[in-house]
Amino acid sequence: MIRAEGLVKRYGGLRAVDGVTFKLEPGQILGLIGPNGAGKSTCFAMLAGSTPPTEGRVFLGDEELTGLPAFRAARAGVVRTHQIVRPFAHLTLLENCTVAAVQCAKLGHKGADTFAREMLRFAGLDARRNDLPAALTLAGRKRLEMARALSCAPKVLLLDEVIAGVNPAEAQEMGTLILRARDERKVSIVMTEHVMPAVMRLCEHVVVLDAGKLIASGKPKEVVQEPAVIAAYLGKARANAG
Amino acid sequence: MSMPSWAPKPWVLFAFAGALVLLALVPLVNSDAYWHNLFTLTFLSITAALAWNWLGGLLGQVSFGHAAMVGVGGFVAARLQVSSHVPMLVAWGVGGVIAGLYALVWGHPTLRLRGPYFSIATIGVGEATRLICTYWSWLTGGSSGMSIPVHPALKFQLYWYGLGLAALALIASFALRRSPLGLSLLAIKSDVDAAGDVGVSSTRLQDLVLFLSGMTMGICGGFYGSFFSFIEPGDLFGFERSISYVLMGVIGGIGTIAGPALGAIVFIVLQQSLIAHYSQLYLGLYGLFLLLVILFEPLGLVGLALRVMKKPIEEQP
Repeated sequence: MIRAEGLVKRYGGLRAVDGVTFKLEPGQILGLIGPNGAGKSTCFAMLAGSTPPTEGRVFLGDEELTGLPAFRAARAGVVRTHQIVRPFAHLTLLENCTVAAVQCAKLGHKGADTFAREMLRFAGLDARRNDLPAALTLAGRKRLEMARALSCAPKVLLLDEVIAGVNPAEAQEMGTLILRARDERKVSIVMTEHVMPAVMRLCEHVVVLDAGKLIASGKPKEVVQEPAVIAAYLGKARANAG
Repeated sequence: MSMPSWAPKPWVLFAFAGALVLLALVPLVNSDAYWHNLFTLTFLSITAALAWNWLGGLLGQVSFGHAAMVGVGGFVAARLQVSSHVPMLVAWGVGGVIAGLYALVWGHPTLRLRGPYFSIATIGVGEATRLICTYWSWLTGGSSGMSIPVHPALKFQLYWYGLGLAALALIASFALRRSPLGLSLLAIKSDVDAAGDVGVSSTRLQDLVLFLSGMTMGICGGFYGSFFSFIEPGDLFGFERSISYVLMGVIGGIGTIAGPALGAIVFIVLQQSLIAHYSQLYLGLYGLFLLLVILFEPLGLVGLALRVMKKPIEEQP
C-alpha cells in the first residue's frame, strides 16, 4: 500500500531519519518501533506530509506522495493521528468527524454527517457525539482521534502512539479497535508504539529504527531476539551478556 | 431524524421573520429623522460586525484593520458614482468586490500568522491604507473628503436597504456557522495543523472567508457613503472604526452566530446616548465593558444569556 524509499530527514547537521526503506502490504498492521529519538515520529510526519523529506520518496500504490502538503496526502488516503491528541476544541465530537468526512472523504453535508456518526459509533463514542472534546478522558480523546481519522475514509492509517498513556483495560480495548479498523474499515495500518505487548499482539510485521537508521525488520517475535535490537533498547553490555 | 441537525429551530425562524416585518414597518409609522438615522446606522453596524466575526470569530483571526475595507469599498463606490455616474447598487457591488480583493492582497500572506501576530499585522495594514488613501486625492478627495449627491427620497429608502443587508448578513452568518465551511473554519481555529491532517486546505478556506468578510465590509462602506452623502478618509479608514468592530464582536460574543449583532446594537445605542453629553466618557465605558466581558464572560452577551437560561455553552444560538 504505502512505500517509503530511502527516506532521509536532515535538521542542520542532524540526520533524524537516515535512509529508511519499508513497505506496507494491503491489510497489514506494521509496527514502527525503536527507542526515544529513533526517528519514528519524523518518519510519520514525512509519510503524512506534515514535513517534506530531505531525500527519498513516498508512494501510495502507484501514486507518488513525496512533498505533498498534509491535506493532499490525507485526501489521497494517508491519514495520521497524533501522539499528543489534537481534537478540534471548538467543535462537538460529531462535528470533529464531520469536518474530516466533508474535506477528506469529500462527502456532502448530509452524507458526511451520517458517515461521521457511523465512525463515532464504531469507536464507541456515539452517545457523546454532542459533547465537546474537553469532556472526554484521555482514552476517549484517543478514540476520537481514531474516529476522526477513520471519517476521512483512509486507505492507510498512521497511528502515532495511540495506546501509550492509557490504563491496561483501555489499552486492551484500543487494541481491539485497531484490529476492527483493519478488518471492518479495510484500512492498512502503520503504528508506532512504546507498549511492547500491544505491538506483539497487533503487528504482523515490525520495522525497528535506531538513531535514524533501520536496524531490523521482520516478525515481531523474531525481531525482538536480534542482538542489534536488544542493544538499541538496552545497551551493548547487556546484549553481549545475553 | 426528521430534521437535519443544522436546520434552524422553528421558533428562531418565526422570531426572525417577525422582527424583520416589524422593523420594515417602523418608518411607515414613525418618520422621525433621529430614529430613522439611528436604526439605519445600527443595521449597517450589525452587518459590519457580523462580517468581522466571520474572520475574528469563526477563524479566530482578530482583525484590527477592517476599516481598511470599509474605506476602500466606500471610496471606490463614491468615486464611481460621482465621476462615472454608475448606479448606486452597482457601485456598492464593485466597491465590495474591490475591497474583498484588497483584503486578499494583504491577507493572503498575513493569514499565515496566527493570533496576536496577525492582529498586530492588521493594525499596520489599517494605518498604511489610511495614509495612502488620504494621500491619493484623485480617489478620495484627500483629507477634505468627497460628497456624494443622493436624492432625499432614496436616502429615506436606505433604511430598507440597510435592514435587508443586516438580514442577509445574519442569514449568511447562520448558514456559515452550520455549513461544512464554517465547521472547517472552526477546525482551523482550533488547530491548523491537525485540520490539515484531516484534509482541510487551510490556505484556500482562509482566503475565501477573508474575501467574503472584506467584500461585505466594502459594501458597508458604499452604503455609508450614500447614507451620509459625505465621506472622508480619516473617518472611514479610522483606527477607531476598526476598534469598534472588535468591540461589537467581543461585547456581543465572539464566534457566536448572532452575538456581534447584539454587540452592534449595544454599541450604537451607548454611543448615541452618551456622545452628545459625555463625548470622552463613552470610550472609557467601552473599555470597562471590554474588561468585564474578557474577565467574566468570554462569550459576551450571548454567553450571559445562555447562563441566564441555564443552557450548556456549546448550544450557541
